[in-house]
Amino acid sequence: MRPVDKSPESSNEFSITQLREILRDELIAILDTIRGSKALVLDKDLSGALSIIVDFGVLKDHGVEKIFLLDDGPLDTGTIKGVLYLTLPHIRKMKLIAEQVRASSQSGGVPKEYSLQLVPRRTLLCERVLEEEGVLGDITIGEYRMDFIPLEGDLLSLELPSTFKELYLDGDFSSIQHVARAIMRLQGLYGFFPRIVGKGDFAQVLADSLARMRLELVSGGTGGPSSGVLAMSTVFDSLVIIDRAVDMVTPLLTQLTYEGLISEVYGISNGSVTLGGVAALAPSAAGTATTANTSGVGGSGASGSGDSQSAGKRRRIMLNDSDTIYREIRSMNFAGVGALLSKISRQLQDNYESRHRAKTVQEIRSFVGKLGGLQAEHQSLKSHVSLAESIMRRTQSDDFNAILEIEQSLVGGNDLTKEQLAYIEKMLALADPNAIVPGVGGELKEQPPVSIPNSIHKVLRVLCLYSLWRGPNFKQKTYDAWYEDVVAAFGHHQAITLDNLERVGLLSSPSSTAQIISSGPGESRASGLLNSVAPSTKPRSPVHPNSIGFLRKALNLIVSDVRESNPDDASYVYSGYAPISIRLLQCLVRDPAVYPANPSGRYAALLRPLGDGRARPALADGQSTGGVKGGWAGWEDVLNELPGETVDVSQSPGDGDSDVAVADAMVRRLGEKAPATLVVFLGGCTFTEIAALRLLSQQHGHRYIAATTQIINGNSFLDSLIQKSMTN
Amino acid sequence: MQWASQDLARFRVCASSFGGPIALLRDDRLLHEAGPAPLLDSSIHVFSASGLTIGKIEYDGLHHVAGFSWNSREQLVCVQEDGTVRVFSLSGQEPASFSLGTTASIVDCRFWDQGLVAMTSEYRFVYVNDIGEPKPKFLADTLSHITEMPYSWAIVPPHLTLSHHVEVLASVGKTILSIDAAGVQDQLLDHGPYTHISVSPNGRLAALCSDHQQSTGGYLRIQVVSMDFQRSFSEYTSTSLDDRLFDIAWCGSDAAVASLSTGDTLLVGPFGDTLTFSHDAPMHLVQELDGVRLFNALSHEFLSKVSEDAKSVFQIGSTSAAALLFDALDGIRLHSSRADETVRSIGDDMPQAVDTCIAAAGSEPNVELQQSLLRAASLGKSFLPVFAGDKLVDMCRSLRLVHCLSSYEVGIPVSLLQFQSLPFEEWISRLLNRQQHRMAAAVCQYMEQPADQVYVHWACAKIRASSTLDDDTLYRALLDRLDSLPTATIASFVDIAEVANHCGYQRLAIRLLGHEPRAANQVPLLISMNQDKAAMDAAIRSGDADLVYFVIFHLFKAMALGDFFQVVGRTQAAGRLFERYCVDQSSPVLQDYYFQDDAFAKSARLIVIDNKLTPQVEVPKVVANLKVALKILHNDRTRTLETAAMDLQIRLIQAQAQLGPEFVGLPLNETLAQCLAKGEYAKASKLRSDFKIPERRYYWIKLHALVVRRDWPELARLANAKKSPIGYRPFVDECIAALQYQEAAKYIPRCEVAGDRPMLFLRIGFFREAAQAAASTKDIDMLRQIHGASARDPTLQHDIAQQIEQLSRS
Repeated sequence: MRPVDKSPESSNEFSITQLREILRDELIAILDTIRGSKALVLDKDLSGALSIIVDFGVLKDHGVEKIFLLDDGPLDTGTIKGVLYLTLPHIRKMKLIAEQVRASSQSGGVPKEYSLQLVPRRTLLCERVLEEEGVLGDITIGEYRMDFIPLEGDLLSLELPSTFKELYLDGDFSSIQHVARAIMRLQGLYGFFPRIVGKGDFAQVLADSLARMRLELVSGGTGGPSSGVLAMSTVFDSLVIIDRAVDMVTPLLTQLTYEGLISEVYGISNGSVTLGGVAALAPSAAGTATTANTSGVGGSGASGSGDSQSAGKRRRIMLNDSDTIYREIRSMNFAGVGALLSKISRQLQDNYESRHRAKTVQEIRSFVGKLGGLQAEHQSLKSHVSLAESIMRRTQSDDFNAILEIEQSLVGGNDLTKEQLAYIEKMLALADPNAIVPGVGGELKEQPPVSIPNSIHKVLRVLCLYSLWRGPNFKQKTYDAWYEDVVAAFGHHQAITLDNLERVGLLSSPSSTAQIISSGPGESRASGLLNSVAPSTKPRSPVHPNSIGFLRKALNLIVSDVRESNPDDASYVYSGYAPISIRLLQCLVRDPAVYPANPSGRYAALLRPLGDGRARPALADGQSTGGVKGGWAGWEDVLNELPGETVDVSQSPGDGDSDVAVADAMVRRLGEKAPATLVVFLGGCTFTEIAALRLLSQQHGHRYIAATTQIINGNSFLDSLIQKSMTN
Repeated sequence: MQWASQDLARFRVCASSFGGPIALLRDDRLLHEAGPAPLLDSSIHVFSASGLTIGKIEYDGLHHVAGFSWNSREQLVCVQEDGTVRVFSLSGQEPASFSLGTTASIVDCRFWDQGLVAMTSEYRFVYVNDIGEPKPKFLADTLSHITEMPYSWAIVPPHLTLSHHVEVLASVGKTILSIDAAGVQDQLLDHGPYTHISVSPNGRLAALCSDHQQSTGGYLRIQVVSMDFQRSFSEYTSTSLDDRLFDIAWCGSDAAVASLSTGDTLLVGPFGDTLTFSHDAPMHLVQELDGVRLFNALSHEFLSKVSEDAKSVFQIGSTSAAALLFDALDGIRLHSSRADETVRSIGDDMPQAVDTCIAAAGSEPNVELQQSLLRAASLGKSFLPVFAGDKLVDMCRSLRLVHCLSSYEVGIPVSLLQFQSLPFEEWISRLLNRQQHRMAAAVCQYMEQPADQVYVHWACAKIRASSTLDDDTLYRALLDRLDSLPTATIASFVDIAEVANHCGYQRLAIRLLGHEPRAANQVPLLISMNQDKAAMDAAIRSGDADLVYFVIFHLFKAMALGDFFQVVGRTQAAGRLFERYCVDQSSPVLQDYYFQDDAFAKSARLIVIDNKLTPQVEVPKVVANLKVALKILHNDRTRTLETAAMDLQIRLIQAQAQLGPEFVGLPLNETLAQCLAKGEYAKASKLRSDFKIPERRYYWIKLHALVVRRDWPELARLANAKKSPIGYRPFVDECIAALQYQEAAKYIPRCEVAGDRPMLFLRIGFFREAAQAAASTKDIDMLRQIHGASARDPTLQHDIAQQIEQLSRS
């Protein structure tokens, strides 16, 4: 954990993709600890993430002969002696492993050498469980620190499933430790973040953990000079932590960017989409061959998955920036995608045509040289056209528009019309409890249906949105009726789901909202947040009766004149609604978008004092937007209406020693202007939020790098909270 | 030397490298003559290399020691014949012990840094890679290869083998077997048997000795061969039949040292040439990094190769620049004018001469010579225009420390090379092992290194040594010292507290723990002191869920259930983690926990989740379970909705059981839909009234089911029974969705919003009806649209055109 000083990273050109090499090297080192050929037993939750880090070929080069998915029942590795388990530290998985180890030792045969690598961390608990099971002595235990995986140059993900549920429903804050360790690794590479700001209870817990780890790093190094460890980052100006609890609204809304819609309609898992049915048939067989190369462990290696049988009809398309067409359209509002695709196709046509104009041998050679690229582009164009077509069919359906209208009424602060309520009623009456929800409960076998199946996910998204936006106007009668309807439509076990939703605050029954338990903000937190209060997704001490109504205005969430094709504001990702999370970031960076517009120009309003005499901080003359400037100061009224603690700490070395040093450091830093900000989403973020961050990066000439526990959409966000059926 | 009072021949001797301690254990395999020393003294005597007694390890003597050795941390590892391994530290802490887990007894052992290999009486080999984390494993089965005790055996430590795993070389019959975890390989030699095998420090060569064997005619023979046993480098055969090998070791990597029982020590060089050193008694050998230590009861010597640097200065007739420089120094001391001349003759080679003198000082054991060499270097540097003094300063400092370590009181005779090959902290800890705290602190200060380690060790030793002080006095005494440290907050208080707790100073331990900045470190100790609440608080404060789980796990095992619930329930964070833990473990305790906590809703929910309908669990059982849950839920008055839902579910399952097995477990709506899909309208109707299904929902479900079933008469009955509560538009929509346009057309006129009708007709291609409807609402735009769409029916198109004209005129 020594910062790389004065290396190329400290320039503007640093790349977080180097993390992938680190992760790969560490994995290979782990593979090499076992002699000879070995069998790899993978946790299902990890196979996707692992395929991003290494190819199957690399695993093979390092002696992996077979890959299994960790499952019930004995493990038959045949004559292979070395067995390497790679799993998350979950008690259940430890028990599975213990069972397999015991079964194999009882059955005789070749004695095996077991190694268990826990991801991302070796825990005492798992060791204890293995000890209880009596197999601890047979297994060598280590850890594989699979921290942030760089999915793109501006996107890191831990690929940890259902973090939000663990944090707020189970009260299990293990993931905070994982995130903290991942951030510590970043700090080790790029230096410490001079400033940490954030919002939400677990943002506070995370900030506390980071502070503690920093202290341990300083004091733990026996004899090592500690000054070097404390080097401030010249790359990142700050770390922004957004707890999902602060903005539960955004993921529930239908994402309207191209990438967002693919995830809504098809489901994106680990940076790829699997097509079935007609969409897969459209591209020629050549496409299948090209994607087969790129697919990693999950696709070609896992012998237990059984995907390969139907591979003839199904196809995996990698969705990342290496696909030039996708790079262009991924973040666009879907309204503009069709036009752009046809433009690209015309260009492509032109490029093909250029062969007729080629007269000389050199020209022909240059054409042939381009041909490979053109063909790849052609292939990708075909895929995206067929994807876009089927999405288009969806977006033009009555169903889709009914939902979209309901969402827009709600975010606009209006009550639902009679027709909209009737639609909800119909949705509940004609519910389909067995619907396949892409990306969560299974994969699509063929083309996605034109209308959205009335799955519990779809229904709950609407109900939760209603509850969140209507807040105090949510009538007990309506709640009761819906409660009954949901149970009648999806089965009795969904009463548990509704209770879950209520406990995390997504669907609050009006009777419970009436009695908000507010613990005084003055309470001593010296002994740690978790000791004193229970983390909550409700604002601690709101001033306004309708918090979200206040926020809508204060944060300028609704933008009426949204430009979908050539966006100038983050609200384009939802065609008129800007995510709260993004607006909060904009508050920190003093983006003009969060200052209420008024007739005499946007900027005039900046200097006008607010009602209570406090002024919003504005940009000084000559200061450019981009980068966290002054923390939360000036936004207290907004923060009051949001749940959880507010984090704002400085990690600068002079902290507390002398004020002069701090001031100096600040001045120096403002002068050199670190080129990036890390935005951590605790509990997942959506493709729309990533798209909005990309827009901000462009507008500000500053890199906002998103780091998340997982990429989510409304369905996957709710899925972990939904009680699974009990009949089977 | 204090060990001189003992007759070394009666003892098994083992000395640690790096000038480390020497341990003596009475050799119980020999017959002893009764003498002045207590006969049954079974303790292990530990001496420093300078001959001071520095410890005595009481050994119960009940178990015979198969082998013992010092590891790289100066801990004495003893392997007993019963397979128990005990690890003693120099500073007298409690021994750690573990078992090798063999059924057969242990005969002999070999050791390397942190590992050991033991041979069982069945001639199998067990190895442990790291004594700190022992995981004994067997090497490959030797049953078919070794049938009698090997003549000798040796190990090749993992860092020297190709496979990076330990290997054993055993002399069996005329050959040598190499054994590793994977298999046994016969090296196919025919000059054996070998009574000693010794592997060179770099792992390339092995020295094989045959002693008193027929194959050599009874003469002692030493052979140096390559590790693949293919090439022989040198061979020595003794001239006397009386020569018996006492010990053999390597001096560096190119010469073997054989100690003979006559007292002679034989150095066998690379090409078979030998040097003999004579002593009165046989010498024990300790292989060092750059040489070998020889000792017997009366003397202790160090034998090493003269370094190239020293050679270039001191070799007779050497004309190297360094030798000239050293000469010049002599000249200056004698006030000879030749000195200047000599210095000048060195010329451009001066930097090299200075460096060589410095390096030679490092390899020179004699202090006076070291000083002279350094003076020479110092003289030389004054003739250089530029000179970076770091090297000279470093050498002086290091030599000073080396002398300090080698002093009689400390007794760690090391060479500079050895000193430099271990990290500085390691030397500090060796000083601390010998309780030389003042010296260690002084050394730290001299080297400008943090002295935390020293103070922590001192504090621990202080606590152990104080048997009469009370907690408070001791606390003050400790804090006086520790507070004076500039880095007092950083010192690891948890280590000190642990010792305090161990020595029975529990109050002191708790007070010391208060100083520990890292909550995570406090937890295990607090647990071991039964400070459950404090441990839980510290774990939660650490923000690390794993630690909290750890505490929960521990308390769960250690406490009565009721007390445990209280501790866990005190903080919400812990309580919820416990719940999660139970769910993961599928522990039945959770139900009790909820019961104690009056968490009725959760308790009921738990029953619901576990209440799965399977072939084994049938409907009556499921219903009974639900009734239990309902009863529990009744205790919580705020849960009206859940109570109602539970009540309904019980009735539903009972009703479903009557309808048929395929219905059981379905949601209410689907039950209804299935009834309708089967045409069981009466039963559906009964369900509706039994379960008070709202009218609108009922209509939706029935409408959908009838359309899917294509039961148009029943649909008409539904539509006509009374005014549809959901209107007639859904009828149309459902029919259109099912592509039943004729049916749809029937209901379009009944749609509430007249303006929708033309569009609906148009959608199903009923242009005439669409036109009529549009005309009746005077919707010209719609008419135009229909006009455009109905191109295939010219008469209709004509009519529409007329209507448009009429309407636009009016």
